[in-house]
Amino acid sequence: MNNDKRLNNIIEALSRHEDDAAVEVLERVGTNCPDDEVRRLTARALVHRNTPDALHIVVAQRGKGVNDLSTSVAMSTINEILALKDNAEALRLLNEVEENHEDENVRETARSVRALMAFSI
Amino acid sequence: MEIRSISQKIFGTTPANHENTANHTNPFGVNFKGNIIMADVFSSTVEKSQSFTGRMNKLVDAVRVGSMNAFSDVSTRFNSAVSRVRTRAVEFWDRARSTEINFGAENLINNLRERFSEMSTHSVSRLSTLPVSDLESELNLAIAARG
Repeated sequence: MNNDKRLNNIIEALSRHEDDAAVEVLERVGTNCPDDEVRRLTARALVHRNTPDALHIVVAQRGKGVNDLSTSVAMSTINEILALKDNAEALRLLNEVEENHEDENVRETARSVRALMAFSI
Repeated sequence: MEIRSISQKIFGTTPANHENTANHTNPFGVNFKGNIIMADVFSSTVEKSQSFTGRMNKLVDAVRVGSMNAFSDVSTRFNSAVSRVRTRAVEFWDRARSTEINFGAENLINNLRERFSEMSTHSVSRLSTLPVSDLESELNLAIAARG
């Protein structure tokens, strides 16, 4: 098994893990990694987990998820959010960020993602 | 005066000449000493010493003798070929029996076994059962391996 496949499986395993401590590992190790591919896989894993604490990381934090400085990572995260079947929690969070977040850029991004979700429904 | 008689006088053609030219095969109508050759006749200077039957018998005998030689060559060649094939087959079999054939199946099986165990070890379902701390170590190792 090559390393990329192994890395993908490890991150996916953390996404599915029963222990909520996995979210903290993904945020600490994955979202702060200088490697774009690792950050992309981590953001995707957090979206797939679809819990409030995981979605909060990719939607409401500067430089992570939809607010990542890498355009490819940000667009990939937006695509994963749009592909969610159960997107109720994501919508709720996006509304909350759009209304209450202190950072204007983060608010703008949340508004854009929410608009895209409305179009894709 | 008739037209025919006029043409005969001018061109010198006569009914007798026409009859003569129509009969002989010589296209030029050549006269040899005043005589027109009526047919192609060639006489051989060599006398035929043997009759037709005699000549045929000779031919048959020649063919029979010749065929007998060819058949004997074929049978000899066939026998030698068979013996050669037999000898080579025996040599091949002796050589094959003494040769060890190894396809490296053991190495192949070992490689497959290693790969399968690696796949099962690092499968998502298998990794999901590990503690989060172990997964964090695995994650750090995998990130470091990317360089």
